[in-house]
Amino acid sequence: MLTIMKYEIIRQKFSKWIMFGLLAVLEAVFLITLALEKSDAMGYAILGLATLAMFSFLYVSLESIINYNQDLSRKSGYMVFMTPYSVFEILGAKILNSIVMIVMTAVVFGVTAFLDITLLLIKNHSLESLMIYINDIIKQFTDLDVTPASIISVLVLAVIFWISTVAIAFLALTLTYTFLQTAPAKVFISFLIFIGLNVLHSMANNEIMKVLPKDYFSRAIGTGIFTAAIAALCVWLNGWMLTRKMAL
Amino acid sequence: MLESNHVTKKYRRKAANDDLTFSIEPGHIYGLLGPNGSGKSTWMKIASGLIVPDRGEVTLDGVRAGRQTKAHTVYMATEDYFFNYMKIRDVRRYYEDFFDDFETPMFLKQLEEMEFDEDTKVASLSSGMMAKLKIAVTMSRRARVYLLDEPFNGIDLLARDTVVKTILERMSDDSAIIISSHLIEELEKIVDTCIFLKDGRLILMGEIEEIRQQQGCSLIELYKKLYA
Repeated sequence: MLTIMKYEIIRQKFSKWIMFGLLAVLEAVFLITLALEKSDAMGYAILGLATLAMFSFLYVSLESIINYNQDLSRKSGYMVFMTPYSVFEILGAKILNSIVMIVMTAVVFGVTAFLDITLLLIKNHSLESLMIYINDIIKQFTDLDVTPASIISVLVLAVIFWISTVAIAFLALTLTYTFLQTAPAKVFISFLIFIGLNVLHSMANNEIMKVLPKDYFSRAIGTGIFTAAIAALCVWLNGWMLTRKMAL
Repeated sequence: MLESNHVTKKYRRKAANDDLTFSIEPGHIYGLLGPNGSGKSTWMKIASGLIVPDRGEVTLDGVRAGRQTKAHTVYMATEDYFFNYMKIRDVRRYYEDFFDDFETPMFLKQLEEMEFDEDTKVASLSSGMMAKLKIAVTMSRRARVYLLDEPFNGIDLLARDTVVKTILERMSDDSAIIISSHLIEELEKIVDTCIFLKDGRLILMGEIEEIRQQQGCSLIELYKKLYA
């Protein structure tokens, strides 16, 4: 599975080069304008960095789905599916890769933002005021009812929800390329199926919420298990269609 | 070695394969013949473990075609299937990473004979060059079964000769090669056994010499007789 993930990353390297290239340029502009105290130009650099972060997240989130669409619509699918792995391993590797890419993007932009804010504060104030600022943030967090367990549960739920989103998107594409293979505008049809499946998922999730206890952890565990089951069902259905109904 | 047992595969209501039962033995080159839509590619995809039949099964040494057998079976599709970003070097690395039976020295030797530069992007290759690269990378695996789907499609005579030479070089007593093609003249030069399919069904199978003697005609004449 790691080899499949490796090649998913290689296939996505071009967009990463562009992303990191733009980040490097904007970061350089930010640092130069910070050093020269050109606040107007620095404002544009910050705006550019924020916009880049937003678009990078959006694209990285979609890239695995775009690649999967190419596997089904172009003959490059043979390269993926002829490898000595089952379709479930291949789909699993693709979904896992999409999560790794998002986490890596979050880390890169998160670290950059943290360093930039730190530099900005040091430049404009003093090290002492920076420490006060960091203390304020920590205090705000500790004043809230935030526990390590709740942070972990939010992160786990986010990962489960993203897995189910990608699994539903993959399923929507496979449905289109099997049962609706003669239809035009397949990507658009897949998008409509994706929306429809997500609406169904949300409706079912809401019904489950009604019967769950009102406390946060019961609801988090309930919705997490249900969403994970939906993701597993989507992957199973997808694998079944790929081997039974797909004419690559 | 490779057994096709009552393999049936339907797409919507049309049977692409209908109760296909035959055996493939090592040490032979098979020609899988039939017009478009006769079920050749579908059977090859089932045999390579890419798709699953609705009924029946293909087994390699008793193991049902699938994840396990993919490591010992090669399927070469008609279409160009390498990723667009790839250079020839990337294709080699991909096969090295995924297939334990990939023989790099053999591949490099073939590249040299075919006068390929590893830095060439596959997207820039002509159809003849692409056909050569596909056959080079496919036949550089030491697989038990080679499934070559229309390897002569869209390529000139010289490229065909290269493809034929590469296939024959790889022939061994412990592997079988199955080639589908419409170009009967090319196939007649290299295959020893023929499998004729029509509307997904097996209509004739046998060694070429026996078929010629029994039917009293060449393979091309027989093909015309069967499918006209």
